[in-house]
Amino acid sequence: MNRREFLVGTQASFNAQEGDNHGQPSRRQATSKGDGDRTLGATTTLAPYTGPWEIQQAAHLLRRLSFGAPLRLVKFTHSIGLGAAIDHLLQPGLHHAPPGSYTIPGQHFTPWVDLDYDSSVDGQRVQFLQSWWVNLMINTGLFTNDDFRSEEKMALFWHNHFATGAEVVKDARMMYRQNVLLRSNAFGNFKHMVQEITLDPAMLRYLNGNTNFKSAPNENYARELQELFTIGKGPEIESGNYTNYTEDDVKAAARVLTGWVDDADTIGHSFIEAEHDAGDKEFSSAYGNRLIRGRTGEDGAREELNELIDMIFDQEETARYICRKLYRFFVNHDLNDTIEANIIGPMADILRNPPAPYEAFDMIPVMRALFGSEHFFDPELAGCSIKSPAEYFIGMCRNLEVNLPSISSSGNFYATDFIRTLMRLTGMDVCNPPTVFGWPAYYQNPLFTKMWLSEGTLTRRIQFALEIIRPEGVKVEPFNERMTMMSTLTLAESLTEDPGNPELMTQAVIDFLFSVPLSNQQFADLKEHLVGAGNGDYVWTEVWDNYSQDPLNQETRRIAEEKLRKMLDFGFRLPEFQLG
Amino acid sequence: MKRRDFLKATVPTLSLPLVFRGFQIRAYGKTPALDSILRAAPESDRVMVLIRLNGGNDGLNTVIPVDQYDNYAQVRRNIAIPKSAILPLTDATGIHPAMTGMHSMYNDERLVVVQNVGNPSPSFSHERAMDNWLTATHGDDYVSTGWVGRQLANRYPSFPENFPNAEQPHPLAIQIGSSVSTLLDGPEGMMGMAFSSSLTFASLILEQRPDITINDCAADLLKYIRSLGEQINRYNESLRAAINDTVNKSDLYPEPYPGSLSEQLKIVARLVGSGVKTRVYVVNYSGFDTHSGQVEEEDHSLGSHAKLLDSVSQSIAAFQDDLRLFGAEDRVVGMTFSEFGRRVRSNGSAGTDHGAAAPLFVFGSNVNPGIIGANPSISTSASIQDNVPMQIDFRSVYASLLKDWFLLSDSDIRSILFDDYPIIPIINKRRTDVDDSPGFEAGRVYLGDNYPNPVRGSTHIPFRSDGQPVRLSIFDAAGREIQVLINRRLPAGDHSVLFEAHDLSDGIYYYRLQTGNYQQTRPFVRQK
Repeated sequence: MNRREFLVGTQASFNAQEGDNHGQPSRRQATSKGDGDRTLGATTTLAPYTGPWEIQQAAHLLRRLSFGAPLRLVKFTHSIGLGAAIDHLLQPGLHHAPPGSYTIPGQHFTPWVDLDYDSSVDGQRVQFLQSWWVNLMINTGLFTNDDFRSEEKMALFWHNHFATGAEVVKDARMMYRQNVLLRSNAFGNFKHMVQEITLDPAMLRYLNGNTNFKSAPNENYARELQELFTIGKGPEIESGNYTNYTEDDVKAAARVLTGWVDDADTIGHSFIEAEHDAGDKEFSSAYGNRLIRGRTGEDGAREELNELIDMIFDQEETARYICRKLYRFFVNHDLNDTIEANIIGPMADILRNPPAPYEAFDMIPVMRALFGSEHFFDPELAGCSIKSPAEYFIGMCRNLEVNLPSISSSGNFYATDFIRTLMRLTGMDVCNPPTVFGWPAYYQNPLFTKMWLSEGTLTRRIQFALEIIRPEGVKVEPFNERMTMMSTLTLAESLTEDPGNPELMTQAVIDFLFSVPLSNQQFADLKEHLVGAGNGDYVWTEVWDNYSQDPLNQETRRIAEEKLRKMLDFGFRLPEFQLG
Repeated sequence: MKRRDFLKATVPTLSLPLVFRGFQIRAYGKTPALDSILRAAPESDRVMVLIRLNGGNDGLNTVIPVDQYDNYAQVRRNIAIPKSAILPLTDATGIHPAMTGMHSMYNDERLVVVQNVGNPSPSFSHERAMDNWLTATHGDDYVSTGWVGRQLANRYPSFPENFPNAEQPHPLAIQIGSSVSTLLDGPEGMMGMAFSSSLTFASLILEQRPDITINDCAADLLKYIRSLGEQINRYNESLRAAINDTVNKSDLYPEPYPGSLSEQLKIVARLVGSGVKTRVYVVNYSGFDTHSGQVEEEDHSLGSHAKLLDSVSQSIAAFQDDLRLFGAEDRVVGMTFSEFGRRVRSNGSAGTDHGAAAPLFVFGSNVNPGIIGANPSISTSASIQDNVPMQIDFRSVYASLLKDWFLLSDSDIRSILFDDYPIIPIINKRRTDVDDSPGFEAGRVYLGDNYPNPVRGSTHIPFRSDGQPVRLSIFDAAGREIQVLINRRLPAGDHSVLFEAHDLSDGIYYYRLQTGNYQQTRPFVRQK
């Protein structure tokens, strides 16, 4: 994409982001309500969390580290304890069959990812890829605890970080390759990921690395590599000097990267010797006046590339930059000097100097520290973001264990495509982030995650919730297949050991579904929807008893289900439900 | 347009298989053009109702080319509607026997049939084809906004700032039914509201929460969500009153059930009838993916497709009646659309597979009643893959509604639809370039018969242009534009293009001319 065009249109937002990269205190405006300068979460650190470990905490972990989860997985997480749960979620190595052509009869499971490029079906392939990914997000851990991982959430983090759009790349196979790269390295090594993404064919296309030639250098990737992917832009201390790097460094890095182009035949990259600039490259004092000696041949160019990345990763700022992005994505948008000092700095230290056997820039130690920290569970930071479309819609499918049509039917595609479309219509088109900056909700000061909501998107969110809890569920066009939630009775039975007790039931629903406590009035209203307006608590107890004494009786089932649905209906329409 | 031309167009002409005729405008002279303009509501009160038929409605069993009945009956042996049962519109064309309601509307001059509406690069995937319709794109073009969303954003550029307001107290657009679609999305987000057919309002619970402390960050977010929720609830309240306090006036509606078209149109009628200022309504009706058993074996005029059409026809007729009783008839224009038509030939399971162009209906007291476009040609040699090719680009229908119903300028229409499209006389009895078959004399523009035909090596395609840009292209039997012969401005006058058909395999093809407001498609046969 043309970065210049983007900047002209969004200068204000860009400046805002620029300011953010080094912790300007002015950002706090977004969250403080004018009661002084109190920093939220200022009293907690990366010290291991030792507070209560209940369903709420397990649900909080899974809202952030996954896209929410069915109650079974919340309970599983709760049962194995925080440390074991994080270790479990951060295991790599699941295998997923590649996407097929879901709407083409007989090709449902036939992969296209290694076939030739075909312009007549490429748009459809992108759609199959998107739907395939959404399916993975919905299904993670749904069938066995063993398969429960954080990899899809983390792949989305990387996708937002190394933002690349299918509409620009115009080759679904390359988008798939990149998606696999992001997933398979989800908890891998950040530096390794940067090495890989630099020669990733989709990225070579998206940021014009494929037209970066000795004869006519294109600085696009060299710039974003530093500004957005690794070290970040600091204050512009003089013209063209962004503290961490300079305009001349952009030019020098572009020269290092000359000659690499995407290769549609191999769905990889190739090297054009004649277009590689074999001259020496000098970097500014921001990089200690490093000299990268020019080399020839593919191996030589690769050595140069590795030296460039070594040079960038030698700077302390690089570790801090990625830690800030992790923090924003998983914890809170508000980065200020206190958080910088208490959280980001220590995170960066772990990233650079992890305990054995980890290597520098391995992601697991820093993620383990963050998600296991008292800061992560600090009540001052509870509900500090609006759920992203992925967290909202996929979270709802997972919380309610929505039945999708069989994986082997095209109805399954239409169902996941329905969810994918809802995400797109509410601001998150996976595989098509709006710009190389990723989604604005993760950087746009001062709104941040408020960017996800407008009257239209909020309406769509609520409407989906109200429809998915109906007995008839949501109809999936163009077929008469439906997505329906699990039995509310089953949900009720797993929520508490005493489902007939409306107090316990109400509290269990809140603990499972909400990231912030509800007021006494809201608690009472929620309960009232279960027992019925003006009724005493015993009414629900009686309804439940009638059902449990005769569970096959359609009428008693229907009455109990209806009351549970009313409670859920009310809960989903509370503003609190939008908080992640 | 000269009166002589109107009359000519209304004369039923003898139609031979493999010959197309052009625009037919029934009873053109009956109502003076001025009348419809005077009768129409001011622009700001005008309403459009879009009825989306999900699944791909079988156009050939909806609007039936009785002039080619024998061919029709032969290629659709297991599903052909009995000739005697077909409800006649003209001598050449009839509609499905279940559609008595819309047949009456036709006779009452409340209905216009637009034939062979399609997409130059039709997709046979439901999703892609429907997305094309919603976003007004073709082929593999992906756009994240809908044509209605862009239209509303063009008319109300400041939305949603300071909405609702006195001029627009209600949502600009309302979508009923659970379907997710881009139709109402403008560049800055959704321009309307959506609610399910069971009238579940997506309202928020906004009671304050004074008795609990919550961190500043979450509190700030909640304040923001509440402010959005208040606006949503204001809209919902404005509609809730209109819906709940208004009673439908027509007793013609078929028995509604959840998701039925009847139920949805009853809601729309109450909203329009009670003076709600929403500009566009979208309703959804599913079940048109009739791959098998679309007719009953013993009586082809019955069966699942008949039930669907019966419901469409009865519901629309009742809706029109309701609007009349509300005194709102002149404010509303409705249109049906479906993602594609179906194959010319029926399949072995008494059904039809995904096809291309198909007819659609536009209705209301302000439409120009009649039939626009010619019957598709039915060849008995049609293969199982053959489709009805497009004569009228679906965006031409949109452009005509935008121009003649919403009175938008040509440049606005271009910005909404991304290109210029011919304006067809759906609303106004405007001048069109009527194709006066078979002669060459009358029209300013004309597409003639190619010669030789069948085509062995090359063939001449004669046409006349009036100096506007010309697009002459070749379509294959599946309905896809496979070659563009001319796409530029030509001097006015008669032209002939020599088309080299050497690369084409044997079979039926079409050539199509689009220039100014003229769109015509004719078939030829390739035979080595």
